[in-house]
Amino acid sequence: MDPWLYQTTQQLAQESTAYEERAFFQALSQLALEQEKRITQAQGEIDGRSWDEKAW
Amino acid sequence: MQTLIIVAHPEIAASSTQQFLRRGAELVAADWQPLMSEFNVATEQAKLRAAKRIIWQFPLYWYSAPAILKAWQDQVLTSKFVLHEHGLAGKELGIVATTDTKASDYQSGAAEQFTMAELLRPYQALANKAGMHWLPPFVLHQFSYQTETQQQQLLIAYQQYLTLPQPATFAQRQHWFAQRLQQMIATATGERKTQLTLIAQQLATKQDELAELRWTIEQMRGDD
Repeated sequence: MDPWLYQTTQQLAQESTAYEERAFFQALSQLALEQEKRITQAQGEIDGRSWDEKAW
Repeated sequence: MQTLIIVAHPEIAASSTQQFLRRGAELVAADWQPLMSEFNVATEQAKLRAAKRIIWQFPLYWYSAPAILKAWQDQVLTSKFVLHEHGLAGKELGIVATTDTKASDYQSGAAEQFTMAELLRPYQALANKAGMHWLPPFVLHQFSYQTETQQQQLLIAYQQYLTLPQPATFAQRQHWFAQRLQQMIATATGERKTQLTLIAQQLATKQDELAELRWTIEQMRGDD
């Protein structure tokens, strides 16, 4: 499921009447997706490192 | 930071790409300066001295800028100004180039054979000689073929190119959006103000979460 920040900014991008504002929310929604991806990757790396048997 | 954009386009008023970029420049209060056929050398040098970041913006004509930029360079960038007075030293130089050719053509083995970085090398050499800091070029490929969503993202990327340290980190881009949101919140009222505030809070929460995770990873890497 898409994160709240992405959904909300996508909605604002569609509702905005000013082009600059649509562009801003559109770009912010993409940043929100990138944030989620990086958080997931970082959590994955932490899990991976926590299970590194060499460190046990 | 004062950004000076020198636009070299023979038909700037007819260029939808340049008009589009102009909106982006206005939104971040960059100094938009289209080149005219006649210019005053002292005035141009004064503008350069006042700027921190200088952008040369042009459509690629035969792998270079339109002639008007070369004419301007030859007259304004005198040896006295650049080499003896160090008029450009410490400033940043960025290139915004537009082309109708697709990005994947600019690589060895592809249609154009050379990368954009190779083709723009003379400008990099000039920056080096002048003691300037060379920024990664911002190249727009096939602007008119882009979807509306792509163009919207481009407008923001262009504003960030004009204002953020380059190359900008993800943290700096997050901060840029956060600052913009604060400006919007300041002028908003009622329900909209509440919604924008929630967005800003959520952005900050995620930003902190990511920073904390990155910190943990750095600690773990340090333990290796």
